[in-house]
Amino acid sequence: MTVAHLDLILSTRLELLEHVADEVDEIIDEMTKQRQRLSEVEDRIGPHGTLSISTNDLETALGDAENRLRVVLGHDDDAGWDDTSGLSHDNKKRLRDALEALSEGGRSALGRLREERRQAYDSFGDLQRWSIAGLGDEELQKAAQDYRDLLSDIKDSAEPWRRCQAELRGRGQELFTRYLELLGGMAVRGLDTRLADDARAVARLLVPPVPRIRGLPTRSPHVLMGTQHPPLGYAGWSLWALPLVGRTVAEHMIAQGNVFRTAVPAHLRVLCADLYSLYVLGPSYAHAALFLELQPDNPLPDTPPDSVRAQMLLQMLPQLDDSPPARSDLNEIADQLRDTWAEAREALGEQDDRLTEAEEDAVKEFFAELRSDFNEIAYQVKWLSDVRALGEKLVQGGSALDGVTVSLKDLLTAIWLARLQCPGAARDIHRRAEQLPRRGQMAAKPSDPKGLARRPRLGLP
Amino acid sequence: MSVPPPAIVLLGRIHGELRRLRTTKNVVLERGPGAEMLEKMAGDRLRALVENVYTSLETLERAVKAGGVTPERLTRMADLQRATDRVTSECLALALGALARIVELEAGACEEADQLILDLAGRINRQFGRPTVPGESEHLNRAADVIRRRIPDHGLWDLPIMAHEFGHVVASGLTAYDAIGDQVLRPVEGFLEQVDSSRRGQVTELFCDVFATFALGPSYPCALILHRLDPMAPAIAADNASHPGDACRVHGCLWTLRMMQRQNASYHPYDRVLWQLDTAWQELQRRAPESARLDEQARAALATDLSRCWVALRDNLGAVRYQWSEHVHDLVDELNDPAAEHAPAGYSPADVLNAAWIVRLDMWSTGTPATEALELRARPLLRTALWGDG
Repeated sequence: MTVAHLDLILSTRLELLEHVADEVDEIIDEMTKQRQRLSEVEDRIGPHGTLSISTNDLETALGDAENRLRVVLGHDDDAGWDDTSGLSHDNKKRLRDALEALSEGGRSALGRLREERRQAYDSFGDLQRWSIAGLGDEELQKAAQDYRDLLSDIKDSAEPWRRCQAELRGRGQELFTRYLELLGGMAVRGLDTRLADDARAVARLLVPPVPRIRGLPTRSPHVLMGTQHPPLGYAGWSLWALPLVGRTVAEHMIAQGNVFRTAVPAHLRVLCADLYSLYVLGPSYAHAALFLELQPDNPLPDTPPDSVRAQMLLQMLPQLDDSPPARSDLNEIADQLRDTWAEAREALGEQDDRLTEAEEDAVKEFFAELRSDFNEIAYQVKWLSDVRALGEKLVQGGSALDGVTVSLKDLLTAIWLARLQCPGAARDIHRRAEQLPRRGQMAAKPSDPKGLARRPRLGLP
Repeated sequence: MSVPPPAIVLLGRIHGELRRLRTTKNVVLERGPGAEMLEKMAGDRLRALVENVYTSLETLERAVKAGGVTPERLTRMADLQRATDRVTSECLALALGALARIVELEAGACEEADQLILDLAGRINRQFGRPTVPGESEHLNRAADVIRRRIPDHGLWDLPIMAHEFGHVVASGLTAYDAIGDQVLRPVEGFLEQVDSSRRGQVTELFCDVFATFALGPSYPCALILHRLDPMAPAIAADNASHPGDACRVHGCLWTLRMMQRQNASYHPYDRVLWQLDTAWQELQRRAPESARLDEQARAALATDLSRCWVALRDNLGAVRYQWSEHVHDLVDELNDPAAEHAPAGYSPADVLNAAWIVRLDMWSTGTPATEALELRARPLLRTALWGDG
């Protein structure tokens, strides 16, 4: 069988999906560790654990001591006290006091110990019920392996895009359904606060300094799942996909109707939201949209179709800055994206698409408004050179990143430029980018002691 | 009626010049109000200058007393009179400069320049540090080794010009040990000496432009091109001119900036400012005569000199080279929005000057030349970079 060449978009998507499967493995590992811990809890404070056994032993020893005292005192349970011991009155009194203290105090303490154990055990039982460790992992392991096999098959297939389109969604959905249970489990322990901060920071970048907008949509992990695209995983919880948050915010702003002067028809909202995100976030938005979100073959009858949205992004990207050096930089990026996108489209037998006249007009008018009224939040192309340098540092890692602090906007573009420059280092780039201190953002909260929040997160189309 | 004999006349002149020098020394260097500051800045050098001419006059006096007047002695007298003029004039200029600094006529501009020069010198050899005094134009006086700063100038925007003057100190003073030949070389002077003497002065000035750009980054070309050079001036200067043609100097600065970012193919931090300066100069030259524009032949002719300047700097003065820093990015944000406190720790004076010029160029591009307000915002940052937070 002939193995087809994988274009960059498809290989990126498949690589990120492999990342998901790897991450499932990590969660399974975590589950195993948690299960071990919970098993230790069961062994120690469970109903048949060492603490219960010791308590019972103590109770037996206590009973034995009581009996011995009673014998010494000549006590008969049926006949009451029988004065045959020959002990003096004072000694008898002392022994009776000791027996009373042992019976009442000792048994009361034993009762408290049992109750404390039960409460402690119940509290862990609650954790067990909600923890991911309470989930079975065999099925998940099998699903992850099947998924990995499928990705491998797609890579080796003669028509990878078609195979991907035909098969991935169903399998993806299957894994996702099982994965969601895990995520639900993770949620009770709290999600990674760092990326949540980044997500909020991206949303803030999109909002003009003058409070022209109220009531931003509440951040939700499902924000990117309500699209026509495969709802596989926490797409928003990855720096690769984070720029896509921009469009959701922008659509909300446009829908409010009082933020922009341009009247955007409802069917063109998504196009203008794309443009707004591109204008504010710069090349990172075009990369995230083309590489992770838009479908080269327009699988659903959307207006405008994904191919037109992609075309608009490619067309407008070089127009973010008019100066020749900036144009040259942006053209270089746009050309690379255009070639990559065209390759993916060709693999699916699709041709270049164009914007209709109405779409062109809407885009032009909206862009003119952005340039005149929203200049303060525009992407600063003049720093693109620094962003490239940051990308190179992210590839190098180690001391190259010493003392580096970044703005989130720059970082999002830098990771994409670095990834395209050095696709093999994608995961390292992402890991290093996650750890870089952000400028102008609140300091990240301390990570959890078990290191769960430091796990890589999903980045899915 | 008797006439004064020539020997008496000559001796009278000699005594007069000796008295001028003594007065200069007493008033300027010992008793004058600026004497203390002048002593700190260039006391030894000025005293040596005065004493050198003084000793020569005394030698001439003895010769005249012993042997009378000869044509050679008359010529020597004329030379020494001119030397006295130069020495007294330099001393007076420096004394006025010192006074101006004492009464703060220059509003701290020289202190700022001193500190910038110290910062640059510190990266090569602190002994290269030279004091500054106010003057009517920027230059390094060879006799006293004191740098003049033009007062008033355009404030912070013109500060980079000081790096050019410091370049003169470096050009003449830089030494490098050659282990193979076991000898001390003068790398800059060495290549300048190979230049034809009629062009040496202009090539030295070109070196200083290249040096200032090399040491400070874009702010020097910005100050020179946008504030100083004349777009109508002939591109090629006359042989006896002190400086190369203005278009040559523009080319030299921009060429250097391009060289500075050439090492990394994907990293071009100066592209934007290069384009802005190049376009601005071309626009300024639009109505200039053809002779003001640099043609290809002239560019090619400059290439050799520029390359030699570059090699001398690259091989001997790497420590002073300005390294583009991401701090500039933060400083630009700070200048655009001081309330947000973007300023990073550890930025250099050159970072501030570059950031200020970048913001200014962008403001000009959008038609909002808020130069004074911008300078007010940049000044505290510059102060922090030059003197630290304290």
